[in-house]
Amino acid sequence: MIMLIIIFILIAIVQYPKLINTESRREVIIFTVFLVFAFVFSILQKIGVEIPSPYSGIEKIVKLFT
Amino acid sequence: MDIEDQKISGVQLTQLMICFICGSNILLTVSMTVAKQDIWLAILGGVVESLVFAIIYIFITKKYPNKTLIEINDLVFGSFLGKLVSTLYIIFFFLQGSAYLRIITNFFKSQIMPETPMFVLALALLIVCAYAVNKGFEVISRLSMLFLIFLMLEVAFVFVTGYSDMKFKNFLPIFDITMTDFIKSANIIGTTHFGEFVVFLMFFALLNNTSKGKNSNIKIYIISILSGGAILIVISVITIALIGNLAPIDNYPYFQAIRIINVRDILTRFEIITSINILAMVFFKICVYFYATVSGIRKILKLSSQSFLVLPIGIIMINTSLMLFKNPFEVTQFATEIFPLYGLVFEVLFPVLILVITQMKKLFVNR
Repeated sequence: MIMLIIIFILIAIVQYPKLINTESRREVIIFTVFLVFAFVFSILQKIGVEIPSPYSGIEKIVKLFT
Repeated sequence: MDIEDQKISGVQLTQLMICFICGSNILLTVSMTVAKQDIWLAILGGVVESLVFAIIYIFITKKYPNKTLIEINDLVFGSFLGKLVSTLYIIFFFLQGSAYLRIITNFFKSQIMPETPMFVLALALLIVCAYAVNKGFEVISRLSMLFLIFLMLEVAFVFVTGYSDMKFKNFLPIFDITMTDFIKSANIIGTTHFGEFVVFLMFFALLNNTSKGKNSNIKIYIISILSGGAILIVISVITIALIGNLAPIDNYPYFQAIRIINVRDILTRFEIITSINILAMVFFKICVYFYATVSGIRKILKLSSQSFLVLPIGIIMINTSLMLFKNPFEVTQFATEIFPLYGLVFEVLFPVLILVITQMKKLFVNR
C-alpha cells in the first residue's frame, strides 16, 4: 500500500512540472483525471474489492443474440 | 518533435502486421478444441475469411489515406455519433490489450514461473511496453523485423530438429470435421488472428509518402495475411504432428509439443526459447493496442501531446488485466463463444457502415 502511494507520488512529481510549464490547463486536468482514476482503481484492487469484469457484461449482451 | 510526425515505410508496417498475427499463436488452442487434427483446414478457411475482411479495410484506407480511424469516424458519422463510435473503438482496443496482457501473464504463471505473483509479471512486461509506446510507433515497427527473423529461425529450427519425432499419421482421419465445426473454427481463426487488423486503420496515416503509392495498401494487407497464415499453418502442423490427440486438451499446445523434441539426448527441453518468442510476439500485440488507445484518446480529446497519458493508462491496463478473467479456462471459453461475435461488431459491422455511408454521401452530393 505504501509502495503504491510512493509510486503515484513519484509519477506526479515527474509529470506535473513538465505539464504545467509546457502544456495548457486542459492537459493538466485530463492527466489528473486519469491519474486519480488509476490510483483509485489500484487501491481497490489492493484492498481486494471485487470489481465486475467488463467481459461479463459483454457476455450477457452477446448471449441475448445467440 | 511531435510523436505523430514519425513516419514508417510499407515494409516495416508489413513486418509489424505479421508479428501482430503471430501474437495470437498463443491462442491456437482455442480453435484446436473445435477443429482437432483438421486445424490446418480451419486456418485456410480463416485466411479466406480474413481476405474478405481485408477488402473492406483496403477500401477504407484507399478512401482516406491520411486519416486515422478516429478522424474517419468523425467525418463519416458526424461529430457526436462519431465520437461515440470512436469511444467504443478505444474501449475495444484497451480491453484487447488488457486481455493479451492477462493471457501472457497466465502463460508465464502456469508454465514457467509458478511462484511469482501475477502482478509482478504483468508489471514487468507493461513497463517495457510503456517505454516502447513512449518512444513512438516507428520504434515498435522497426523492432518487429528483428523478432520476425528470430521467430522464423526458431520455427525452422524446431521443424528440422523435431522431424524425427513427428508422426504424420496424426493427421488421419483427414476431413473428419462437420460443416458447423469447420465454420466455427474458421471464424475463430478469422476473428482472433486476422480480424484484429482493424486496429491498423489507426496507423495507415503514418505511412511515408514513398509507400503511399497506388496499390501499396493492397500489397501490405495481402502479403501480411498470407505470410502470417503460412507461419500459423507451419506451427499448427508441428504441433499436431508432435503431440497429436493431446493438442486440443492442452492450454498451450505448441509449447508442450516442443517439450517432446529430443535430439539424441543432447538437445532437449528448449521450449524456453519458444517462450521468449511467444513473449516477443505478444509484446507487439500489447504495444500496438496500447499505442492505439493512447493516440485514440489524444485524437478524441484533441490534446497537443500524448506522452503524459502513457503511465496512467498503463496502470489502469494492469489493473484491468488482473480482474478481466478469473482463471485461464475463462479465456478459452470467452474466445470460443463470445469473441467471434463481439469482435465481428468492431471488425466488420462498423467498417462496413463507414463504407456504405461514404458511398451514400457521394451519391447525394453528386445530385
